[in-house]
Amino acid sequence: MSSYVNVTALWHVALYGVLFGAGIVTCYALGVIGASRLTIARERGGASVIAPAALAAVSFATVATGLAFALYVLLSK
Amino acid sequence: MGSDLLLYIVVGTALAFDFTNGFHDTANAMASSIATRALPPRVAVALSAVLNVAGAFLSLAVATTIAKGVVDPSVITLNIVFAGLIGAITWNLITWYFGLPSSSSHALIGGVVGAALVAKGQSAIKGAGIVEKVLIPAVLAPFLAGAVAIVGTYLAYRLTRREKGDHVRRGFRYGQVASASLLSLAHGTNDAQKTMGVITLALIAHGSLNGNAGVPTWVIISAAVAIGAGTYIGGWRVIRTMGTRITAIEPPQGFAADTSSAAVILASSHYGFPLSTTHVCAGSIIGSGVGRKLADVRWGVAGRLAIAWVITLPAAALVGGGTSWASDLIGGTAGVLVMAGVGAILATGLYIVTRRDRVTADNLFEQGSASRDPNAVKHDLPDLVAA
Repeated sequence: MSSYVNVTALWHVALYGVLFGAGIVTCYALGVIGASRLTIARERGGASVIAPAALAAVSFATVATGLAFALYVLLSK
Repeated sequence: MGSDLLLYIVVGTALAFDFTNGFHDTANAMASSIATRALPPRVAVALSAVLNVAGAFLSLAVATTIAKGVVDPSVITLNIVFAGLIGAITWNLITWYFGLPSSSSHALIGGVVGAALVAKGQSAIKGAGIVEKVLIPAVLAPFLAGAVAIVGTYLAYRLTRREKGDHVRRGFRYGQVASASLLSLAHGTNDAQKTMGVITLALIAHGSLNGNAGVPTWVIISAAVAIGAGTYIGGWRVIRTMGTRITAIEPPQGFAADTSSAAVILASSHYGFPLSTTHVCAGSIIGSGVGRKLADVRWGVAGRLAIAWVITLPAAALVGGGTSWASDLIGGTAGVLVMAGVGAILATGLYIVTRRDRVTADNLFEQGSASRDPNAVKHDLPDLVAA
C-alpha cells in the first residue's frame, strides 16, 4: 500500500486539512458569537459592547488572515 | 491540410471538455451556498464563473502532460488525445444527466487510458499509476474531507448552540460566500490548466509551437472563457444532488463543508497529493451531515455517488477506446471528423432528452416537478427564507 501512496504527503494533507478546516470554522463560529452578542447588547442598550466586539474583531481578523494565507498558497503554485 | 483540420478538431474538443468540466463542477463550490440561500442560484453561478475565469489566468502551473504516470507519454498522439476527450465528455454528460457529481480529471484519464489501450496495446498503460493516481485518491478523498467536515460542523454547532438562530444562520451565510468563492478560484486555477495543457500539447505535436515555448495567450483566454461559460450555464442537476439530496444543509454546515473542502484541496495541491475536487466536496457535504446532530444523511444517494466514482475510469475508457477504434477503422482525419460529428449528435440528443425534465435555477428545490427521486431530502425552505 505504502508503495502506491505518498504517506508523508497524505499525513500532511490530513493534518493541515483538519488544522485549517476545523480551525477556521472554529474561529468563524467565535466571530459569529461575538457579532451576535454585540447586536443583542446594542439592542438592549447600556450593556457592555467591548467584549463581544473584541471577540468578533479578533476572530474575524484570524479568519481573514487564514483566507489571505489560502490565497497565497493558491497563487504560489 | 489534414493535420491542420485534426488540430482544429482536437482544440475544439478540448474546449468542449473544458465547458463540460465547468458546468459539471459548478456544484462543487456553489451547491451548499445555493442550498442555504447564502447566494441566489444565478448569482452563485455567475460569481463562480467569474472566479473560475480569474483562476485560469492566475496559475502558471499548466500541466503539459496528459494522464502523467498512467499512460506512456511517448505513445500519445493527437488521435488518442481526441478519443480520450470524447470519452471524458461523454462520461461528464451522462453523469450530469443523472445528476451525479464525478471527477472530470478521472474521466479524462480514463478516456486517454482506453484510447491508448486500443491504439497501442497493454504495454502503453501503467497499472501502478492508475492505482496511485486514481483508485487510492478516489477512496481516500471523501473520507479525509468528510472527517474534517464532521469536526468542523460539530464545533460550529457546539460553539454557537446558545446564540440566536437567525444571527447564527445569517453570520454563516456571509462566511459561505467567502469559502465558496475560494473554492471556485481554486477550481479555476486547477481545472482550466488541464485544457490549456491538452491544447498546448496538441500545438507542439502539430509543430505549431516550439516545445520550450510558453502557453499562447489565446489558449489561456479560450480555456478560461470555456470553463467560465460552462460554470455560468450551471449544472443544475448536479447542484440539486449535492445541495439537497445528500443531506439538508444549514448555513453552519455549508460553511464547514466549504471550508473543509478548501483546506483539503489546498493542502493536497500544496503537498502534491492528487485528490479530486469533486470527491473532496461531496465528502465534505456528507461529513457536514454526519457532524450535525439529528441530521439525516441519505446513504443511498451517497452510495450512488460512490458507484459513479468507481465506474468513471472504466466507463470513460470504454468510450475513449471505442472512439479510438472507430476513428482508426475509418482512418485518418476523416475518422476523427466522423467521430466528432457522432459525438456532437449524441450530445445534442442528450440535451434534447433533458429538455423534457429540465432542472433550472427556478425549479431547483421543487419536489416532484423536475425530480423523480423519491429519496429527495425535504428542504427546510420556510425556515431558511425567514432567517
